[in-house]
Amino acid sequence: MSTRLTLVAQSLLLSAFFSAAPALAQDKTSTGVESFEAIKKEFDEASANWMDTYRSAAKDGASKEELSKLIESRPTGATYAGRAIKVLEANAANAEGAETAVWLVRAARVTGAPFERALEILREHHVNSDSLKNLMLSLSRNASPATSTFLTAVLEKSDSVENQARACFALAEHLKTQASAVHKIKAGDKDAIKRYTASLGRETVDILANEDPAAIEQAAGKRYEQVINSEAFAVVERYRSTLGNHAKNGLFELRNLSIGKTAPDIIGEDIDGTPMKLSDYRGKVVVIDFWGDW
Amino acid sequence: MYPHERSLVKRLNGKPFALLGVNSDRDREKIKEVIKEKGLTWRSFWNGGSTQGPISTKWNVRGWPTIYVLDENGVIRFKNVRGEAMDHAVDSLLAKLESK
Repeated sequence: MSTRLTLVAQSLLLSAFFSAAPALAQDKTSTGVESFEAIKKEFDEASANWMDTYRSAAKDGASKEELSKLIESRPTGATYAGRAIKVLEANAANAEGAETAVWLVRAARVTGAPFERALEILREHHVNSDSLKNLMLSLSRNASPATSTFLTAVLEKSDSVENQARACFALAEHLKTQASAVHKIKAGDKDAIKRYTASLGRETVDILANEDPAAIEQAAGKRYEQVINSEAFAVVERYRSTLGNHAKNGLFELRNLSIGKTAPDIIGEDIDGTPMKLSDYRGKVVVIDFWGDW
Repeated sequence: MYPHERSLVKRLNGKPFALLGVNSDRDREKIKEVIKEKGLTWRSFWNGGSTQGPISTKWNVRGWPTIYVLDENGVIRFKNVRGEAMDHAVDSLLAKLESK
């Protein structure tokens, strides 16, 4: 079963490759660099083919091992990153460059040097671009110092108030993420260090290990306050609410729910309707799990 | 999550430890069934039947599950530790508490 599945997966991936190959040749521009559209199309097709293979394998009752093998064969952005970077370098200052850089970070989820280069080109050439809108907020959960540099540049250099506002809010969230990463690295959390090393690289993890999380948290607080206190920033819409409201929630979390803070009490009732208080559990080590059966 | 949490609760039975949930499901009756069926012995706050309920909103929770680990004084010591990391976090706090 396993061999058959792997063969199916390989043949699908190969057919995706061959069917995309002629299109590639046509899409080359006079500069000899292929177009971003061609790479994106190829990646999307390979991803869709992989997804079909995976779904039918799961449906046919493939074992956990077979499925995890399939997951390993999933087409990743990294496979396409080298080519996309070439497109990016050839188009750094134009709209195709902006689109390619955003794709590399958001869809291809590149890490390390390509990630840093994409952000560098965006902050040098595209601080006013609408394409940064969603990218910036998706970087909130990225702990890399390259993200700090990028968001700070948009906040300081963009002519678009909306981009400035989103950069400021994303910077606050990102700094909070970074502080939490520093806490975990300093505490020697092995799983977390492994994850950060894979996504940020060894060098960055070493840099973060020497940072002061309290100072980073303070910087995050200042950016939240900046969003709350600037009328133009606070009214920008996000998720049926505003950046101002999101910043207030974020600031509350930073001030009251950071590591080292006494947790605010929870006074409520349990699922059966019996009154229940978090402070009733003082004297015990407590794990609070926000969960749902979904 | 369930098997890991069940074994954690079982292993630490009798120790100064509590696992508390904050449940954000919509249907209270349905979740009572799940709790019975899966043998979840720990208590959960009811978050008002929504992920946007009062507790998760105040705690600014945007991802599920979100985990906090508090020491015996209610001080937050770890956030979002899963699996083995959760075990280590709890064990280290219990060791400190018991050596006092």
